[in-house]
Order: sequence, then C-alpha cells, then structure tokens
Amino acid sequence: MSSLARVREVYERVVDLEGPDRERVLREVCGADGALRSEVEALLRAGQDAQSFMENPPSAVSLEELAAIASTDSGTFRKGEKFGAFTLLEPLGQGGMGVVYMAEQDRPRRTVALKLIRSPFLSPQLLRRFEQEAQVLGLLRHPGIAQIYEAGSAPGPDGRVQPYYAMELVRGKPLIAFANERGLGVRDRLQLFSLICDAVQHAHQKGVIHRDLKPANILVEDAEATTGRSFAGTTSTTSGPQPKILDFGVARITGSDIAVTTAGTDVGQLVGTIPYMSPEQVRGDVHGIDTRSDVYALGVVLFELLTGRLPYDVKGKTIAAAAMTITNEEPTSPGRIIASLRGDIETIVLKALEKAPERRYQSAAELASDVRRHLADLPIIARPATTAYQFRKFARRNKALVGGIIAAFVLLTAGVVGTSIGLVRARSAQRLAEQRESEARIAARTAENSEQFLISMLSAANPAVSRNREMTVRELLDEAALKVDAQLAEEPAVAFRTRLALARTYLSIGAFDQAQAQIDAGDALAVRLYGDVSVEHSLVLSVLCEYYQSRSMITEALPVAQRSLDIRAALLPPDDILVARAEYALGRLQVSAGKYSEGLPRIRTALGIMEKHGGVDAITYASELASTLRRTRKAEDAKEADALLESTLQRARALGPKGGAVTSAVLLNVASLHERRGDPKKSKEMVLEAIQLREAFYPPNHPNILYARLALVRSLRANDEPAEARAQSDALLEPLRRVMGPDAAILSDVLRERAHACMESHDLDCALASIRQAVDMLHDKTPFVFQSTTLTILAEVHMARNEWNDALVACDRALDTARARKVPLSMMHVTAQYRAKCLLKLGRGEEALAAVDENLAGLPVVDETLAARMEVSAFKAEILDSLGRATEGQALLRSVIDQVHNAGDADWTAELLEQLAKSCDEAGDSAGAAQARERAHSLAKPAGEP
Amino acid sequence: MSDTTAQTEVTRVLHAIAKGDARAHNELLPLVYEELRKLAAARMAQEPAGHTLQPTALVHEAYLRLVKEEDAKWQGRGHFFAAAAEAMRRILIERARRRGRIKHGGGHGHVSVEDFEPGGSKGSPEELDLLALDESLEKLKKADPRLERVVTLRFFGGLSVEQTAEVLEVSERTVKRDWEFARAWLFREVSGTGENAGGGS
Repeated sequence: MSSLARVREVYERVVDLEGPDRERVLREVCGADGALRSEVEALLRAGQDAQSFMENPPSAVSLEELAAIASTDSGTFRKGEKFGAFTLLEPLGQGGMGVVYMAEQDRPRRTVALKLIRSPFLSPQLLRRFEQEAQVLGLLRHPGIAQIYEAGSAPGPDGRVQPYYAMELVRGKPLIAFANERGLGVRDRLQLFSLICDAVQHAHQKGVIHRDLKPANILVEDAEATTGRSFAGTTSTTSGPQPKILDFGVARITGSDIAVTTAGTDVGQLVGTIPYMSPEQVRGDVHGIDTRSDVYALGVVLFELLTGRLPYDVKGKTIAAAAMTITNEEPTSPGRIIASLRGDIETIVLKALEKAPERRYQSAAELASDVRRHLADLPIIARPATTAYQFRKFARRNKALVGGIIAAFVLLTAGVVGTSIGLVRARSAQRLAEQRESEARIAARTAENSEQFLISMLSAANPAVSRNREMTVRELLDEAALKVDAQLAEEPAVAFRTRLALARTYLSIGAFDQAQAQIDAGDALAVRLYGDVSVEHSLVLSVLCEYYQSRSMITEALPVAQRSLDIRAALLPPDDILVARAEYALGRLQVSAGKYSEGLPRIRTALGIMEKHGGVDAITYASELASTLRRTRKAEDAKEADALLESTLQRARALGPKGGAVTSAVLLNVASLHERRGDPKKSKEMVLEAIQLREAFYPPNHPNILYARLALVRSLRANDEPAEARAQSDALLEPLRRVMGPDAAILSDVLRERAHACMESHDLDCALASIRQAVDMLHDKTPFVFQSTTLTILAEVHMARNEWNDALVACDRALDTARARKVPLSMMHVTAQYRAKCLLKLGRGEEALAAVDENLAGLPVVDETLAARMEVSAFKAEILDSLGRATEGQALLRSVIDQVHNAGDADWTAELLEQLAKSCDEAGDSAGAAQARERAHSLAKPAGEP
Repeated sequence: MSDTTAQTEVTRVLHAIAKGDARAHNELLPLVYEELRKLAAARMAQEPAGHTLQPTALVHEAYLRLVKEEDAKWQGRGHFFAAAAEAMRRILIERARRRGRIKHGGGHGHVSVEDFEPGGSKGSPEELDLLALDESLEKLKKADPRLERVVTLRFFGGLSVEQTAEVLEVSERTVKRDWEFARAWLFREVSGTGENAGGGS
C-alpha cells in the first residue's frame, strides 16, 4: 500500500495535465508500482466525479436540535473513546440530567448503562457528597431495581471533571409500552404493578426514596431476558415479566426531585416529570418529601397504567398552574374513564393519590397488599368517602389562602420572567456588547432560580405548616424579602431579579416603603454586577419610575425615566423592545405632567417599535395611546382615539381566551372612555365583560380580578345604581383584606367608592363609617392625591350631615397636607371652597372671605380654570352678601354671570341669575330681582324655539 | 457570579494556545459548546419552534457573540474557528446518529431518557451520509492531519479559502489544492469505490 503522502505527490504532479502528458508523467513516476498508479488514477476519477461533493453546506439544524445536542456533552465523546475505566460504546439517549451511554467497564468486565451528569457547577464537596450517596445506592439489591454499580467522577475529553454513575444495563421496554404491546388486561397490569411496589418497598426499607418514579423510569424485561443474563448475582426467580426501576435515589443526589430543579434544567424537561410529582414535591417542600411521596407517584403510575391517562390535565400549563392543579384540584376518577375500574380499583388509586401524605397508603407494601387483596377478591383496606371528604373540607376552608398565594406567585414570576426574556432578546441583538458570563444561560437560570425560590416560599404556606393562619400576599412577600439575603447570597444575579420582582409586587399592593427598600437593594446589586451604564441598572430605574408614579411623584419620576431611556438607547438597537418600554414610560409620564406634545410622540414611537415585535404589548400600548389622545381635548385627537380604541379592542378580542388579560385591560380603558363621554350603560357592559374575562383567565381572587370589580363599583355609581354599587363594594372588601392584606392601598379606593355610594343612597351613617375607615388607613407615605381625596370626601360627608365643625377639620387637614407637600393650591380649590363654606356656615364670614380670596389667588387665569374661578367667585359674592356688602357682591356676581354666559353654559347662568335675584330681594331691590329673573326666563327657552 | 466572564475565559484560553499550551485546546471546545447552547437558547426565545439555521452561519454568530473584535488577533480567531468547526462537526454527527437511531426504531429501552424528536427537517435524499463522511475524515486525519482540518474548517465551519489559509497559516493555493485532493479522496471513500486508500504510514 502506498502512503498517502506518496499518492498525493503523484496526484498533484499530474492533476493539471491532460491526456498524453498525464499518461507520460504517470508512467515516469510510478514505474512498476501498479498499485500507486491505480490509486492515483482512482483519485483522479473521483476528483472528476466529486465536483458537487460537499459543495453545499451541511443541512440546516433547528434550534431545538442545536439546543438539545449542545446541552448534553455527548458531542465531546466519540464512540470507542475511554472515559475513566469505561469504554463508551454508543449513546443510549439523553434525559434531564445528562446523557446515557452503553459502555464497557474494564473491571469487572461488564456492559453497563453509564450516565454522565451534566452539571456545570461542581465543587469538590458536592462531588464527594455525590460519590458517598451513590455508594449507599449501590447497596440496593433487588430484582426489581436496576442496580447502581458505582458512581464517581472522571476527567472528560475536555479535561473537565465529569460526574457519572454506572448502572445495570436493562434491556427492557418502558412500562406502558410493554403493557400495551402485550395487550395486557387489567389483572395482568395490576400484577405487574404489585411487583413494582415490592421493589419500591425494598428500597424504602433501606432508607432510599426514589423521588422521580414514572413509567419512563420503569422498564419491563421479558422472562427470557431476565434468566438469560446475570447481573451482579441478581438472579430472578419470577417466571413472568420483571419490571426494573431505574435511577433509584438518583433524583436526590442530583437534586432534580423538586418542582423547579437545579440550575441548567430547563422547564421543558420538567414537563415529563411534573405529573408524577406529589403535592409536597411541586410545592418544593423538601422537608415534606418522604416514602409516601413515592406512594403518590406509584398512584399516578397505576392510574396511567390502567387508564392510559394522567389524573390531572397539566399539559401545556406553566409550572405555577400545574402546581396549583396538583395541590388543589381533585383527580379525575379512574372509573369515569373506564367504567369497569369503579369500586375497589378506583378506591385504591385515589387513596394513593390523596393530597395529604397521612391520608395515603403509608407504604408501598400497603399499596401492594391492597392490590393483591383485590386480585384475590378479598375486601380491600382502603375506605373512600370520609377521608376525601375531610380533605376537601379543609381545602374549601382555605380557598382564599390558596388563591392569594397563587396570585402573588403569578405576579412575581410574571415580573421575573418578563424582564429576563426581554434581556435575552436585547442581548442577542446586541451581539458584540460587553458581556459578563453567558447571558442567555444566566438569564434563563435566573428566571428558573427565582421561580424555584418562590416555589420554596409557597412551601411556607403549606397548609400543614400554617394551618391556623391565613397568609396574605403581603406576608408572603415579606417572607420572601427576608429570605433573599440568606438564600440567594451566592447567586447575586438571581437576587437582583428577585428583588426587582419583589419591588414591583410591593408596588402593586401599595407597600411603598418595602418597594423602595427592594429597589435600593436591587440597584446596589445591579451597579455592582453590571455597572451603572447597563441594561440591568436601567431595569431598576424603570421600577423606580413606577414607584414614583404610583406615589404621584411625577417630577421625581421624569428624570429617572429619561435616564433609563438614555442608557437603553445607548446600549441597545433602536428598535429593541426595552427601548420601546422606556420610551413608553417616559411618554406616559410626560403626558401625566401635561406635556402632551412631548409625551405623545414617544408613545407613538414605542407603539411603532412594539408593532414590529408583535404580541400583546403592542395592543396595550395602542390602548394607552388612545386614552392619552382622548385627554388632549382636541377634536381630531379624539377621533383618532376612538378609531384606535375600536381597532385595538378588535385585535385584543381576536386573541381569544389566551388574550384575556390584555383584552380585559383594553375593555376597562374603553369603559372609562364611555363613562367620561356620558354613556355609563355602555361602560358598565364593558366592565362586566372585563370581569368575566379575568375570572376565566386568572386564579380566583387574583388582584387583577379585584381591580376590575372596583371598576364595576365605579360604573354602577355612574349608572345611578348606588345600592348595587354599595353591595358590590361590600362583597369586595373581604377578599381584598384577605388576599392583599389589611393595609393594601386598593382597600381605601373601595372604601371611598363605598362612602360615595352610601351618600348617594342617603345612608349617611354608612358613608361616614366607610370614609372613616379609609381615613384611618392614611399614612404619611400615602400618595398625596389619595390623602386629599379621602379627606375631602370626609368633609363632604360631614357637610351632608350638617357637621360643619368636623367638616372644617377635615378640610384643614387636607389643605395642611397639601401645604406640607408644597402642592399648588390650585389643585385643592374644591377643598378650599368646602372650607370656606364651612366657615360661612359657622358664622365666620370674614375668615370665609379670606379663604375664597386665597383660593382665587391660587387659580391661574387660564381657560382651564374658568369654571373653578367662576364657582369660587359666585360663592365669594354670597359671602359678601352675608357680610352686608351686597353691592360689591352683586357686582361680582354680574361679572361672573356674563363670563359664564359667554362660555355658553345656559343652565349655570340661570342658576347664577337666581342667586342674583335672591340677593336683590334681600337688599330690597325688587327691580333688580325682577330683571334678573326675566333674563333667566328668557335664557330658559331653548334657542331654536320661537 | 464568577469574575471570569465567558469572554475573558476565551481570551485567556486563546492566549494560552498562542503560548503553545496544548492542553488549552481542550478547554476551548467546551466553551464553544457553551456558546452554542446560549446562542440556541437566545434564538429560541425569539424564533418560532422549528426554526432552522445554517450550521456555518451559527459558527460565525457564535464567534461574533463571544469575541470582541479588537480583542482577538487573527491568530486567536483561527483557533476559535477551528474549535467551532469541530464542535459543529460533532453536533451534526450527533444529529445524524440520533436520526439514524430513530429511523431504525431505537431498540434500546433506556428511556429515562426523553426520546429525541427530530426537529421537523428530515434529511433530504441527496444529503450526504455524514456518518460515513465523519468516519472517513477520521481516517484521513491519521494519514494527513492538515487535510482533515481543511475539510472541517471549510465544510463544517463555513470558512472561505482565504480564512482557512489564515487559520492554518498556509497559502491560499495550498488550501485550494488540499481541498480538491481531500474531496476526491473522501468522495472515493464515502462512495465505497476505494479500498482503504492511503491509510497508515
């Protein structure tokens, strides 16, 4: 055989030659070496034929393929390669923990299943623990358990240490597939299942819990296969098929046994596992896991083995939703799927599936024994009804608790995941921007770890732990906030996102101090980890902005929003979602500050960017743009707004049920528009529809449902249904207190509405009680607007009750607050007017006069304040009258009448003319009075009438 | 969070390689895998399910994401591309293996193990047999390592003749000649007309 070098040499010499030349050179060079010559000639022919060979690049890979392959380290091994004391033969597959190879062990010489565990972060301590625990697992010897031979770690081809364990190689079929292929009947299936229970019981006796039992982890070997080979001395004496359980106890040492598992496991890989997890596992309640968790999983396996279905439908649900289903809902009865399962079998399955471990079979042996009793037609031990009844009673009693916790959970995770995904997108577009670590992985991991952290929070609300106490969202958050430091000390990036989520959620329930503390702590982390010109810092600034905004501190919010936008604009592509968000936030603030000309274009820009990215954000933005346009009071804007709202609502509705959240938000927006337009009926319809959507979309008592119900209270009032409004607010108060906590800001909103509703239905006692409760909730961090509104309503109620002193005190308190906050008096003119009225009623005319003068002085002379100025002036005329300065008063009133008349408000003009007439009467000027009444009369005729 | 970022990690490894630390080569490959994982995760957040990418484009994107342009000298880039091309080769081989396994019905019951779903795009009939190519490449590598590198860089890494020449520090002409020869040799191997040509020695 010629060496390649020699062949190549000849090839190169002749490849460019033609016909006789090539022939000549070949003869010269090769001489008698026929082999060399034919070799070269073959290659020359191949070169001719290979023109299109490897011309096209390899075919495209899908992202899923890439992720799946690159996520296992299998690519770094090649067939026949050595790994520790093993020779890798071929990959068998991959699972959540890593890749499995069929491998040949050197000593003892045997073929094994070798699992290489993917775990990017391994400390020597962890490795040691892993090896120690694996030794314990090695002690499990049972024909129904695939034996773990050894575990350890060895350097992989890349030089990095890779943990592994070697397990008995089982050549069987997965449980369900086996049963189906053999066409096993119910009895055979039960028989097979009882063998599985035996194996589990054996392990439990040795103190090992499986923690990840599922049909895919149970292989069934044929009788022949079992007897034909011998593994480590385990000889099978059974004659039928032998189930073998894989990975016994492995879940714990690799940490993949609770709902959101270790770093690096993605949510998708959990999907196959969650349906088999017990309630204590999905809650992440590590300490609650015991052998009875395996009994639960066995129950699910039996359910699936008999019915082909799972007891709960968790397909396509998020982890949070699946967790909620598993913890709260009753499983489907097997008998409803297959009627013949009714009776004993159903009772057995349901007992294994009890939510509370103490209600399940207490051991796998008990379960097996009941199955065998049934097979032997003996009465089973399990009794249905009563136990289930008791648990259901408990669950009902704690429904609000469960709802509240889930609500908090959804709020939190939504925030965390939202920002992370945004960030990933931003980064991939950024491409070359400075990166710390692997952003995508970090972001994904942070989201998961935050979720894991929160799930572990849920375990704190485990009914067993807090049986006598109902946790509110607030308490849950406080607990989470306390634990961030201790539990996430090693994961500052996760801590950062968790704090951000906490801050947002605190804001949503109006706990401003707590929100601020989280924002500060989060920002410190962001700046330390990423610097102060970073997307992360800008994320904090956004939350800070929300904080200021919810405290109505627009002036403070504006520069923060600007800074956030500047940072993102500098770091990210101009059409990035995060840039759009910042534009939107700044735009909205500017609009709130009355700067429409600056704010509107920003909202438009943000909407433009969002439209490119599609999705629900664009709909939200469009709806916001529409309501902003309504506020400019320009006719053309109003027109655009109406059209925009109409089309936005259509787009939202087209999303169907999955768009419930955004559709309901648009509906509420449209509803308030109708209300302002004086169509309260239409408004109410939309609010009702929004509530319906939210009730279908969110878990019971989710804050967003409660917010929509508050809108209903308002709408009912606008519809002149004060009794119904009051009833609705009554029904709202109780769940709000339980879910949001007794201090939640939204409570005072409801109380204010309730006070109004009571006043409108002439129940002044109820009005006073409500508004007093609202006042009691005020504290110095309460946003100013709410303070002043609440106190002003208190004054109103007192005035309605003729309690002028109390009313005066309320007004003074409201005005003092305004002064302390340096709020311009113009914003308080209604309260100031009330105050003047109180003073006048109390016979303190001079003070009342001073009060209105002060009020007038505070009102800038612009069109927008005309009505306010006229109202105050008319009242000033009344005061002047009472002070015996009627001439002055009447002169003032006349000028007011002219201005109101010019503004086109005929009704009001008539009212004022009547006031003038009365004043003239009192002054004995009957001619003046008659003249005023005459004018009022002529005004009362509609313009078109003759 | 650790202080060493992926970027500086790569830079460090590239420097070590430049200084002749052969072991550093082994460290580069996992970093590239890591990068491809991240890249896939990031793109999956943006793209619909089943979205496909050209492997060669992926290599370049991974490079752009990881290495700052001003950071790495061409020398370092070469090593990076070599590792990336190798990673891509392994990934494509693994995919071919998996598809093959699925086609032939699997047979091994080890299914603790979510069976891999092919991402929609089945190999086209005229698509070349990557597994056979891979085997032949290994053979070629034993006989002439440079030929194998040229093929891996060009075919799996998508590098141009010019880029390949710079990575391997040879002339473009050499790359062209190597490519032509290797292609002929591999074609003969893969199409089964050759008997163990040129192995050994």
